[in-house]
Amino acid sequence: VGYAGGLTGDPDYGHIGDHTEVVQIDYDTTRISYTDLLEIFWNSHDSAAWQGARQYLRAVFYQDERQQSLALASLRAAQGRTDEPVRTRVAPVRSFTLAEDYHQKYLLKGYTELAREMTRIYPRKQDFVDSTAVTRLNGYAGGYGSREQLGRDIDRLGLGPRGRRFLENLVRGRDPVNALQYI
Amino acid sequence: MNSKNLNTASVDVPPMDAAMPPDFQTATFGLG
Repeated sequence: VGYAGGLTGDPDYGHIGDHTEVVQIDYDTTRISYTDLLEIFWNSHDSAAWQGARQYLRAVFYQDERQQSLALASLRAAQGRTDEPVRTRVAPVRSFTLAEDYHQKYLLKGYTELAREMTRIYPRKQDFVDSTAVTRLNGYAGGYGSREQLGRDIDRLGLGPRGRRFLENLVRGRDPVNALQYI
Repeated sequence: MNSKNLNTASVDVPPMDAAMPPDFQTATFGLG
């Protein structure tokens, strides 16, 4: 996560200037397309909601002309699905500044045990931020991912026995049907 | 000893601050 879209130099949390808080993803185009990501984006927020401060814009920040064209097409498609005005923006990314460490993988850091295990594997902060395994764990910590998906992931995340048990219980515990087994 | 080499989770791809693999691209979203 970081700050993007603005023109002011060296943004940080205390001096964000005209930038917006963003999530930036480096993705494998052989596995998922930009159009797929746009679809997830449009399905995961209310595009008619009023936009407040620039710090919290809902927007697609495009990197190049190809992304701009696809993003604008997705905006038109979103407008076609609703009678309300779409207020989500499409804008140039201009720059990206990585946010401070304490903002990175924030949800995972709420689970000290899991975060500690991953910090042992990735003592360098940059490696921790870049790690696909850490990102995936952050998703599970945020309530995403199914038990079936975890079954496929669990051996590849680098967790020790305690971390594995904790994560399995975490994901299992939020499944209301399965939680009945624990009563 | 480099613990990362011993323990890197197998789901990981090369760190993005190294040369990004050719099939990778970047996307940026503001989520409100």
